[in-house]
Amino acid sequence: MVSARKKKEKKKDFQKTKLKVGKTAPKSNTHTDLSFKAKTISLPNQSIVKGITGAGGVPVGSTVSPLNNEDFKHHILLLKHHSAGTRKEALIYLTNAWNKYLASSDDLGVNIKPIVDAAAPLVLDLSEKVRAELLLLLRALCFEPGQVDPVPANQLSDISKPKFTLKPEFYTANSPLSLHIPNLALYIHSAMTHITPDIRADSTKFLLLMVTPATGESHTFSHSFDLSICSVLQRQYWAKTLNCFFALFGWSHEKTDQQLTMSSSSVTAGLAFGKQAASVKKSFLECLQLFLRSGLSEFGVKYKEIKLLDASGNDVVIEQRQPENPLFHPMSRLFTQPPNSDPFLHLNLFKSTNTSATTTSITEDVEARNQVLKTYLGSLHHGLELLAKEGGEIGRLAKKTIEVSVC
Amino acid sequence: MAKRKRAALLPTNIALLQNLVRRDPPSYKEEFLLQYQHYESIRDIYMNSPQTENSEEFGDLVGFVAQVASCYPKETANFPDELSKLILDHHQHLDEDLREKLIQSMVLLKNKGVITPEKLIATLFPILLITGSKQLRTQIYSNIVTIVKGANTGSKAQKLNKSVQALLFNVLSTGESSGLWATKLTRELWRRGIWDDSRTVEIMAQATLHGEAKIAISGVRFFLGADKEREEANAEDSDSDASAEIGALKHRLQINKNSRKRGRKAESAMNKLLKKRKGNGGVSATYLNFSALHLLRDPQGFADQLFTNLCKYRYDLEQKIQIMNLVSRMIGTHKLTVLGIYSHFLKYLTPKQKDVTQIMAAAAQASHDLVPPDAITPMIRKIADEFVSDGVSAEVCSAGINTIREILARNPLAIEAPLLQDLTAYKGSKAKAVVMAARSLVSLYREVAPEMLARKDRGKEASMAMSADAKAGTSSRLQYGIEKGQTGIEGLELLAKWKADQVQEEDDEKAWEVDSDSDDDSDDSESGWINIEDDKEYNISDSEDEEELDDEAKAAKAQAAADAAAEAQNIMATKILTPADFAKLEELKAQAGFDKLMGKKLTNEDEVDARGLIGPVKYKQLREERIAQAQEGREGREKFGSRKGKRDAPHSTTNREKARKKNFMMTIHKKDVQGKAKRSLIEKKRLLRAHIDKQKKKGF
Repeated sequence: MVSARKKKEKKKDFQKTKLKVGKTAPKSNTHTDLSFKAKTISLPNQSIVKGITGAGGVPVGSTVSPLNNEDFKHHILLLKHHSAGTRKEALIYLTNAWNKYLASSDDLGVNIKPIVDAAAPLVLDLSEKVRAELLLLLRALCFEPGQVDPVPANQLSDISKPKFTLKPEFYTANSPLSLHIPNLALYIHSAMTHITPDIRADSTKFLLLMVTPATGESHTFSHSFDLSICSVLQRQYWAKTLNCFFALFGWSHEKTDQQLTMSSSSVTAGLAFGKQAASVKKSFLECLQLFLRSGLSEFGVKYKEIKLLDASGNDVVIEQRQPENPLFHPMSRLFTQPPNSDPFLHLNLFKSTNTSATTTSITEDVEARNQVLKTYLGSLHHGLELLAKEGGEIGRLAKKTIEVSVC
Repeated sequence: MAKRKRAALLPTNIALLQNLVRRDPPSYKEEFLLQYQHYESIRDIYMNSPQTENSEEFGDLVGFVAQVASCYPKETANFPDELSKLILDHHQHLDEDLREKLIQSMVLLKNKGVITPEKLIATLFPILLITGSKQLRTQIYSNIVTIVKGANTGSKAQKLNKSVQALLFNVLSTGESSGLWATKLTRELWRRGIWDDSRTVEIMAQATLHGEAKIAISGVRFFLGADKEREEANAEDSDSDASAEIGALKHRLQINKNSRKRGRKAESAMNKLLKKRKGNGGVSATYLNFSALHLLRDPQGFADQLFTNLCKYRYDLEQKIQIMNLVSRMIGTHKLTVLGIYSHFLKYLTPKQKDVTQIMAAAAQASHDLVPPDAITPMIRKIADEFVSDGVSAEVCSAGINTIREILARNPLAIEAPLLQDLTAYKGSKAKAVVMAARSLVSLYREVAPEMLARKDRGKEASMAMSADAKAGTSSRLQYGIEKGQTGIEGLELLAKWKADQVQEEDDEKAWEVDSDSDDDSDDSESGWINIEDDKEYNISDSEDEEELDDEAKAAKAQAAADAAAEAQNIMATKILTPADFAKLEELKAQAGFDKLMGKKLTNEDEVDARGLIGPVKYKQLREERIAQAQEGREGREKFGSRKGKRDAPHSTTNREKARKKNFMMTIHKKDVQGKAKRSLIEKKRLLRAHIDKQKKKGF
């Protein structure tokens, strides 16, 4: 005996649905809606990219270089890791890989953009160890392929100590890093104006890498394609870096007689008073001095040598090349074809009109830099004189910096 | 010492710094500049590579600067530009939270008066159109609505409105699908009553004529439903807030301790509320609630173009129906001439067509008395052929006849007498819906053109009127293009009659008043003597004559009623009716059942309800429907049945409940339980004695 319910259900299947005027007919029981919505349809099996990289992710037809394998890429990703220890390890790995690459091969034209892009934000890293390792990596990146690091590795171990400053005698004009200065400079500037005192204190160490004048063989008097790190920085970021120094020292742009406010000086040196503050201030001053010198000197014309006080108090002498053929009149450069690649950059002809947002004023040569410096000179001297009054090592350095800035 | 501590803390504690800066901007300028420099360097990083992580810090900084920007206008002059550039250029790559924060900061700047609302909208609107992020879109959309709303409170901000409307026009004229935002925004602002001018309607008209189906349909929906939406929104607003607020206020006053401050607070809140209500009233007085359809600048051109689009572009059926609906509404409302649409309807008018009732409703709306009957006749023929026959179901038949009635009510000449008589013959049908439809057709023609009906259908009044016409040699036969026109004010004779009554009543009242002057007069004038001149005839009245006079008054009254129409004419000629008069007229009309007698007056602006066309067809309900209907009736009443064992208010257990739960063994030996039967003789005797004693004591 079939139950009544089942009978009813069975009957329902064969019943004709009643149509009503002005209404849509009901869908049949077996109707299946096949429509779907999707913005993109991806077919990974048919990807074009797959043909280039082999099954194991290793590019087909090229040798595995230390900079082009999965491990390396993975470590670049690890630079964003949340744990400071991991970031540090990754930096060490990258530095080693780069050194290995420098030693092993001649110039293969490796693109270091991914490394710099990933590493640059670490200038603002909260962990001191990470910053120290980053400094080593950037320093390694400064070398051209084939060039040998003059400083032995075991001497670099004390880089994390505040006393240590990098000796700047060995940088070449065609550093691979020089192409990535704009990106890096942003972070260094950010570090210089940072709120956290530690990061501020370390910022000049990175800047020091940049402001060291080039002493390579390819450097010539006419600057034809001067792509050294230093010149890129001086050309594009002269005013901005100066600004950042003001922030670093806590000076105001208006010439006021009032003393520094408590808060700005406390940020400046972590603690407003004490031994550490003094050493940090000293490193700032050294950096400022070198920055001014390298920016205001036409290489080989004004200075035969740049004297710089070392941390240990010894004079570091940087040899500058004399012009080999001093046949030009010093002013002749003004009337010849401009030597720079983009002489009218400052006119801002090809960029968007709204550049007030990024204050990049282009200073191509010493005259231009002097012009810019003039607007800052009054308040700069005011600040330096305040420091000079403190006396001691800092006082002496400040006085010297004043000398540099006026000549 | 404490001060130094605070100073050391300041750079990292933005919230504290913000508070201090707001109180005393000049003193904390250094600290602010420190933060601002920090902001600038991070901003450069984001300008260069917007995908940078750790955007939280930057967001906080931007928020801080935005908060205090008004304190340092010189230093932060570029700040708004930078923000807008950052978000305009990099909104795709910026972090979601940061994006949100940036927009919030810009809105904050607008609220503080640092930037104008125009500028803010100029920044936000382009992003709304191109961004792919839903979150960003909703944020920007709601912000724009709030900005426009805020600017239009009090008086209308014409400048802002015009600039935003210009933006919307531009978006629509580009022909891209982003125009949908323009319609959405306009609709929202219309719904809230912020925009209610003809420019707004023009935006929607342009959207409706847009080539993209989605935008066009959005425009069509606006015209069809926006006014209803607006009314609903208004109604919600007005009744929701006021009463609730007052209630809460009173409650608080009752509970809290009375103090002078609290009293003042309550008073001011009350005042504010009253003011608000007054303000609302003031708005509604000047608030011209024109519907969107009436504000169109060129209805004929618009309807023509829309109809061309309907034929030209590909729409699916639902969209087509909506467009047809709008075109027909336009035609009906403005009495336009779009002749093509009637033949366009022809191909849809079959019973098997999906949603045919809606198309039929549109067909009815599209007809009015200025359309040539030749244009409509084919449509009626088609409906009669397709829908009205014995072979189709009752509901189809009734839908057909009802539609024909709706069309003919608007244009009675569009049918020939034979067809009409065929249709009226369906009043003998078995189906109730069909009978009702046919009868309604008959009653319609009794009023407008009885001569077209069969003799037996004409009815007494109509026949009498016809024969009267025939006697007089006049003809009230309808003719195309001749409008009857309004010849007077309906029901004015009622008013005239009422006024006459009033005057009489007043006279009666006056008659009761004692005329104080009359005594003096009689005393003064020749000491009570009446002069009678000999050459005049005096009508000396006696009782009989008085009766005659009463009869005369009655007759006059009757005549007044009879001549009410003439009186009405007189009133129209001599008096200007005041609003109070019109109100009284309405009242009198209602009393006399005027409207009921005439049936609801049909106007050309009426909408035809597609659901009503089918008539009262009753389907057998499904079980679920039956249950639902039964449940509907039970809503809001308690369930029937015993209340036993259900507590109304919470209370502890009653003695009765306790007794019920008591262990059985404890009660088994009680006398009450054992009962009378087991009592011993002595026991019975004792009890009886005790009872007698008690009764005696009581005095029995």
